[in-house]
Amino acid sequence: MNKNIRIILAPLTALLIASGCSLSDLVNVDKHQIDSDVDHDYLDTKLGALGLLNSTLGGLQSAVSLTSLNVGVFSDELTSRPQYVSNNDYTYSLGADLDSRIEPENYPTGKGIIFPAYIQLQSTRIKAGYARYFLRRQSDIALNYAISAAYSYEGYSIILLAENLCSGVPLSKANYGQKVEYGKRLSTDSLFEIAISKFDSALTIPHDSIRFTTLARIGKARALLSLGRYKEANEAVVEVEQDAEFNLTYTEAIAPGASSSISFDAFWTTTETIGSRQRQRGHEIANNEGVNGLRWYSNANNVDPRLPVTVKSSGDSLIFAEIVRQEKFPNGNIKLKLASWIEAMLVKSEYLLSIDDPNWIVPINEARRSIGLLDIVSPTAKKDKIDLLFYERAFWFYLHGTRLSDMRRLVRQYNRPVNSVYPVGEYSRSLEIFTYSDATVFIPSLDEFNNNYAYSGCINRLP
Amino acid sequence: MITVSRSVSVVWILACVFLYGGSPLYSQDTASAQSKVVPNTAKKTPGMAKRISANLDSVALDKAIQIVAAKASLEVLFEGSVIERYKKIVSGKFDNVPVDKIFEQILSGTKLQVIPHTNRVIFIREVDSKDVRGDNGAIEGIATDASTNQPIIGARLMIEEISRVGYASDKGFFRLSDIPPGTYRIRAHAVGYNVSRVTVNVRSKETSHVSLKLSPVTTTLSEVVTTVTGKQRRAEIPNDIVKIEADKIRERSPVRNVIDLIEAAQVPGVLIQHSNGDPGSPSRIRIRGIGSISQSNDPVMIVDGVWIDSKTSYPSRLDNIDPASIETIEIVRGPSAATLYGQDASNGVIVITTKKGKTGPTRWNLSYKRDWGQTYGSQPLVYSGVGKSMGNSNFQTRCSIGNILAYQCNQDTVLIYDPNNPLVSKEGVETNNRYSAQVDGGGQNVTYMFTFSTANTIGIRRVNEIDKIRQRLVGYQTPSDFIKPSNLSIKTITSNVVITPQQNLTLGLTITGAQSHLKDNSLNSSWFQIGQQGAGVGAQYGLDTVFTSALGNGNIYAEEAPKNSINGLISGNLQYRPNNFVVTANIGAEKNSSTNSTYSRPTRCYLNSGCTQGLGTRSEGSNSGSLYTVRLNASTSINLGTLSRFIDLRPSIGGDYKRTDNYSTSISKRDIPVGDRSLAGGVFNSASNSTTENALAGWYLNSTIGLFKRIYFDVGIRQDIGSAITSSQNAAYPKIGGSWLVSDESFWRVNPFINTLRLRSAIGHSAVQPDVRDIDGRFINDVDFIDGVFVNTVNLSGLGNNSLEPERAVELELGFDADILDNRLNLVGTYAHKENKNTLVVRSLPGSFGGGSRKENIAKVRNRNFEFSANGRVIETSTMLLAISYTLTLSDNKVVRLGEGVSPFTSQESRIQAGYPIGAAWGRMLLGYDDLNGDGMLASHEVIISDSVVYRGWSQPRSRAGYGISLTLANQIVLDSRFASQSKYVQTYRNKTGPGTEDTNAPLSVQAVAYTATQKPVSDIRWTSASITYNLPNSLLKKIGGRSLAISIQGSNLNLWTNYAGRDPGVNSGVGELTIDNGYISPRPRLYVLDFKMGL
Repeated sequence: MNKNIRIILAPLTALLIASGCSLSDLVNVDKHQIDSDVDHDYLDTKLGALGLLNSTLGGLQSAVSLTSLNVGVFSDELTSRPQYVSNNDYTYSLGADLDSRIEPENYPTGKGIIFPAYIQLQSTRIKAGYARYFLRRQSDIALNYAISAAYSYEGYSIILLAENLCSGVPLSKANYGQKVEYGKRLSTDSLFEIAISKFDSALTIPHDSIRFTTLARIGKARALLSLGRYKEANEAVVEVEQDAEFNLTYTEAIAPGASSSISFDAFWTTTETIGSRQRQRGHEIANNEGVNGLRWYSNANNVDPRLPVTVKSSGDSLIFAEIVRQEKFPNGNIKLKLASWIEAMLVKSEYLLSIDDPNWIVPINEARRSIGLLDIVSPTAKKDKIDLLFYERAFWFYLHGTRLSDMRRLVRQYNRPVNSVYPVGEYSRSLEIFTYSDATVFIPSLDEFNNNYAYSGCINRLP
Repeated sequence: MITVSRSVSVVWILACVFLYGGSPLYSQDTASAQSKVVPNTAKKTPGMAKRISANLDSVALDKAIQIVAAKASLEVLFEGSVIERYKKIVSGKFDNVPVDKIFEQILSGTKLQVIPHTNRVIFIREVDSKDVRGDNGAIEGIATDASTNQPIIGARLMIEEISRVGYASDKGFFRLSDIPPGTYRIRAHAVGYNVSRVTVNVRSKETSHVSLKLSPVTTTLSEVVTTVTGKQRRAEIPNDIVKIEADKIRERSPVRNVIDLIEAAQVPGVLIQHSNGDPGSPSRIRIRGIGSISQSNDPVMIVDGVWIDSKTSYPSRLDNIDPASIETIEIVRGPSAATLYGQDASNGVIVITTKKGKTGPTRWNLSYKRDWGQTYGSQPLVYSGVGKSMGNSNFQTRCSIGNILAYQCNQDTVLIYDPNNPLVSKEGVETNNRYSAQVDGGGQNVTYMFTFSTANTIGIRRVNEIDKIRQRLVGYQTPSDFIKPSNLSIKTITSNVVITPQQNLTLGLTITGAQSHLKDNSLNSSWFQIGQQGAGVGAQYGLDTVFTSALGNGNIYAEEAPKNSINGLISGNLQYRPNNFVVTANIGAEKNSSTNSTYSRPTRCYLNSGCTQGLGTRSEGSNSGSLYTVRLNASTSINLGTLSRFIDLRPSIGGDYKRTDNYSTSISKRDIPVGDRSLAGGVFNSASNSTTENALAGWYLNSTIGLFKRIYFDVGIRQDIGSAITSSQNAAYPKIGGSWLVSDESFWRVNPFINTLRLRSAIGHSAVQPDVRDIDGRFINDVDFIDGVFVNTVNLSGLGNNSLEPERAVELELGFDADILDNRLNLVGTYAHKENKNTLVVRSLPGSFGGGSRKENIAKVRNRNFEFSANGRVIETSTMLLAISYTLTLSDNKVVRLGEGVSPFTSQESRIQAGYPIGAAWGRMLLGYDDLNGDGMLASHEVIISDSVVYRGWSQPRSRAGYGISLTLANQIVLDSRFASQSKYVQTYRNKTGPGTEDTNAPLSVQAVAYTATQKPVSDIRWTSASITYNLPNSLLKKIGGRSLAISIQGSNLNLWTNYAGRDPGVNSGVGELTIDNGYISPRPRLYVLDFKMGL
């Protein structure tokens, strides 16, 4: 090589050598340095992976809370209360449009009627996948329970999407370090099948956490029920023991170092935020809403112990003198039993009913006895039996986000006419009088329609 | 195969000339002259008569020649390959021997001969040329600049009678061989010079010698500009690179900073937008339009070979570079020219070169500049609609366009507000004092330059009287410093040292430093706040009649916001020239550090606003950044043997590395008691810090290929790796271009109309990289309530996109350069078509990803620019020069594609939508109005407004022009004036509402405007500058002992003719690309400047 060429190449070579023999090292920088950022290397530790799993559970809590609230208002559990929130107009905390089942796509905020709940459900699903990825990388069997939990969280999110939204919800894919994949619409049944596979995965992983096993078993049964596979559903919960449960916990306490409480903006919060204003929580318990709604109480002194109520003055409401509040979740420091032996009993009952077993009422009464309720006698007519079963489910799972799914199942699996299940007739909780819409399901948030080019909308909006 | 080693020997001369101070035409009997190694003519050279001592001990002939030359202080030029051919080893001891005798001895036995050129330069050539056959002869010569006597490289020689063509070599020499005996006319031409002709007589078997002296003419093609691979003649570069000579601009225009320099130069394709008329306000530089939607459109900036931070900041980083220390600013406008500069260069490159010292005695340049400024014109009256809320008829509110369209407001009143009221006027007189001292000098081996300047500017902005009253009422006394809030003081130093330890090695060191202090004050109360204040101050002073009752108390802020910054730059430059190589290296670092502080005392706190009424809040932030640069480049010329007569090959290889580190912190405390404004006195509110790192490395190969000295190709490729460029992406950027000196072609008939014509074309790629955090997913620390307790969690905040690529801009540039009308008029025209093919867009992710957003390479943006400039000397005599200039820019910008399923990005007035320019203005149209009930007031039902927003026009000017005229009398008095115009864009003037008196006489047309956005197509013509400069004649200078003295009276921003509703369409407070005047910002003042410059 010519001497002069060497002269020129020498400093270039020196530069490369100085860089540690790797050009990529030259440009390697710490990419996550805002003080709130977490370095990706930390994710690849046990603590980091569990931190991500806990955030997934936090997301699931938020998702369940928001979904339950939306389902409660959309179905016959809660009713919206008009609030005076601006100088110019009346509006509603969760508007009369949701309460009266106005077509979701016309929701005025433009993001879809259950936008926050939808985002949280999908976000939980995505985060669960990330958590699993980093948990697996630890190669620690002590973390099997966590991997199992991540599967269950994901499965449960999918169930809530399938139960409450139209057929045609997309599940976009995002895995750590891989290209994202915009999701196409999936039928309701497909979603349930996917959820079942997630729960199966959760159950396949060996671990000794009854809590997470219970969540997987109940979740799987719930999906199977929606698919009309009652026997398999019963088989899924047969091993759920009486003290088994999986709880979500909520609080309104302020976290150490935080300036405000974690807010899920849900049914249990003592305050709600509307614009820049806050007010006392304002959703009333609905009672016999729209003709078909369940009568949750006869009066304040005649209520099912599973759903206590109180009558309060209206506060800042300008229209109604008093309101009736549910007291099942009286404040933010509560537990919500997402999966429990109670539900297993109700699954078993529904299975027995599906095969016309005369003992179908036994599991229901076992459940009732667990909290001191008296036994009930099975009606004779099949229709009445079904009504009783769903009545029991409604009271056991009030504001658990199951009511809309049960209403849909009454239509889909038990052939009840829509207008005999959902609230119908004149909606009178507004300044204006209008009628209930015929919408029976939610649709994905409008940003799904706007931003997902692989998405072509609902397959159908059947109950 | 052509080897590099062979090329090493080609650096030196290809031919020699026998002429020393003789006539243009010189012919002699070379046979007799060739009989001596050192002819008599050579012996007359003073250097040859010098006596020296030298000990030559078995050294190669070429080395021996160099030793002797060095001892004799002679520059000896020879062709290396010729000397090497003799393979002669020289030995001898010489003690006080004349140089000519030594040469006679060491060259003995060869056919080499010493030919003198000047007192210090000789040539050594072979006596007999073998390129002459039969009875033919040859012509040798040198082409030199008539004014500087420097050789003209690449001068084109043509024997007109036989159409034989040759070119001057690197040393200006040429040889035309094998010429039949006879008398010929030789025409010489070079870019930048007039055509020169001489007659020469060629005799049989002889070499005739000729000296061609060419007179320079005004053309830019001969200019040398800076490229990545080194300095190159503009004629060889296929792009139009603009070179601004800073001192020339400073002579004629008031210049305070780099932005002023660039703006005053009126460079086609370069748009300057000022965020404000206040001193220190950052400005936006856009070169050939806007190509990025989500990324920066700022150009890259390089000072003395190293990158500097080009982020917009306040005070502006570009305020901290002393214009007096700048030699040139070169503007590389598009990707086709900026390819080798690497990432982010697709927005253009601004190359700043500081002044270097010159050999000679110490020279001082002292200057003092004093400005006075005021705004012109009065502020427009503000009309705002007020009416009753539909939901509450007792409630009076502003009737914004949104309220009206939502049927929430029924306008029944129009308020008129006069911002020129002395109580509320926030403008005064601006002053600026600037002192500058510069010293330079040096010897053969070391030169130095040192510049110091200090400037203090008090902007036009003031705390108005009503604000002072308001503050006193709440117990707050504005510190006197902050009464004049836009007060910027800057001190800068720039020093250069250039060391030349040996002839082929140059080391340079540049150190700059700047310190600035801005006494900013955000106590800039809106008129709305004046109206809201609860003490009734406005009403007390007759300023409001409606809003106090309508909206009740509002916040009263008393806020200070001082900012301090220090920055420094160190740049080390090396140039090593072994043989015909040029190796350059730049190593540098820029450090920036700034602190800012704000203090405010809200008199009313809203829910969750984190304040306590009446108590103070202070926030302090700091930012420090470092930018490190390492650049290497090696260039050479390759000898292609006989092909070298026709082909020049100059390859380059290089690489660079750039790393940016930024660290910022902020802390805020609230509830600071009255009387204490310190951070220590408050209660913790919030704190944060962040670090951002970014690194880029790249290498390139490039070659200039010259054909026949008139066609040049430029081919190159660059490859980058970077923190934000994933390894899977192909970050390689090619370029190719050609430059054709058509007027040098043999078919080109020399005519007085077109003297020089060059056509050029180039295509190249460049890029803008994503941000580091755009690639990987982002995870953040979070807290969740899990199983009954709070636990720290890790939340997924953003998915990121590991498929991101840098935005790739591809630009085709076509252009011409022409000197016409006897070289009196220089024309440059360029068309550039640039496409950003995979523009990054922040795409909202659908809910099925859990929401959020991420960047994707899905958009496409097209920019088309036509740039034209004309510079002419209309009258040129020995006592007068009248020069004119004209520049024109026509721009076209369009978002060709935004990405499948991506909705347009909208803000209040602008929108990014496929099919329209980036940031174009959109708004509702006022379709009509009619006072149906005849009450003199327009209610909402009496105004017809379009239901939806419609496209209103461009965000940036589509056409811009600059005009200049300059008259120089007796080389002493210079009068200069400049104008600039722009048109075909929409300026938004946000008509701020405020307290006013009800105006029942407000014209309906004025009332109607209150219903619509104030977006209007704008055209304007600005008298940008005028100056008269007097340079003292030498006779007077001798008496006062000075080298130069210039006194100049200058003015800038002297007048504005526009249809714009606001005051200054040249300011833009918007963060987007749309030009927005929010009604608060200061217009640019009209300045008068007194400028003294003295050289000692």
